[in-house]
Amino acid sequence: MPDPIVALAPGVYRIGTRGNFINSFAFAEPDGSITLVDCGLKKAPSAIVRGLARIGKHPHDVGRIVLTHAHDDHLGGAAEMITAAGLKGAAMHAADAAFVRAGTLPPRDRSTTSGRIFARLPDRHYAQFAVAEVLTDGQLIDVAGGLRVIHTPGHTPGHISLLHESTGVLITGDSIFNIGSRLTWALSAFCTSYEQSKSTAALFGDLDFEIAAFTHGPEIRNKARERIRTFLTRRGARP
Amino acid sequence: MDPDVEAFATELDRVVDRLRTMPMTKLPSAAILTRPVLDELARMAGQRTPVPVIADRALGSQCAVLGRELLDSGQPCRAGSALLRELRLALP
Repeated sequence: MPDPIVALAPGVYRIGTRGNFINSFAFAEPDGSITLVDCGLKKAPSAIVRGLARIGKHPHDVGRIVLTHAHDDHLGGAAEMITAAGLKGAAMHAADAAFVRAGTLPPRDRSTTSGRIFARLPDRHYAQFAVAEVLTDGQLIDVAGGLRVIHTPGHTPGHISLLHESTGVLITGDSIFNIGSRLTWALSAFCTSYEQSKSTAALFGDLDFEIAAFTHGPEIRNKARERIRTFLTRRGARP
Repeated sequence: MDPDVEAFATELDRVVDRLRTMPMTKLPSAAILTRPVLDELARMAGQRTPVPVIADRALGSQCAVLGRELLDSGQPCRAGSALLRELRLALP
């Protein structure tokens, strides 16, 4: 079994909840507490707890849970982790908090054939949880020296990416996938607005970061900014 | 044959072929894109339980089974065709 936790930078970890197919992230505070980013599918908490244990942490050490967006492969395990950590709820962007509060998922892109048809299928179910904190674009969350919220709507209306400025770790969320040695967009059927998702990802080209981390796929440590910028340019998302 | 069904069957064959002939080194990457698609195919076929995660080398066979189940379910499969096509084009 692969190690469920990988150090990206001092105090910053990726936790693979299904190999590196679906990732969560952990930020360790100097006081020993942990901020967890994303909670994977319903059964992901066992992998998250196992990953935290590898760095000597327990779910009780989790002081905050941030969710990049309201898809079930990112919030399916949120209710269990919130309970295990003894928290009141999770933090997420207002636009996606509305779906969580309603117990629904964001709509599919109706400009695509698959999106129109998937929209008629019943929503997937996930365990309900509270949104304790609403995040806004540009906000610097008080996490391990500051975690910048970058609103990158499109994949969902409230999709966010996160930049840990002190270590230069960028978490793209689902704006960009890293499938092995190749970067790609999320499939359009899984987006609320595929075109908007691509255009807002262009923001990454203007950010300073050293390591690109993905909620789907392994991180890029070498020339990460250059590779992201090249991808965005080749795919027409930036000049 | 219904053109939508035929289109789906064709696209399913193409994706299954790609997955079954893919080098082992590329399969973990392909799985990142393929597994959510398999979940959607199962959901379209009316399955309520999650698709089990099995070895990457079995992705092609799992896709073939789930695609066949969707065809057998009699559910409309135009969305499935579009999704499989997009998956095929995105595969490494």
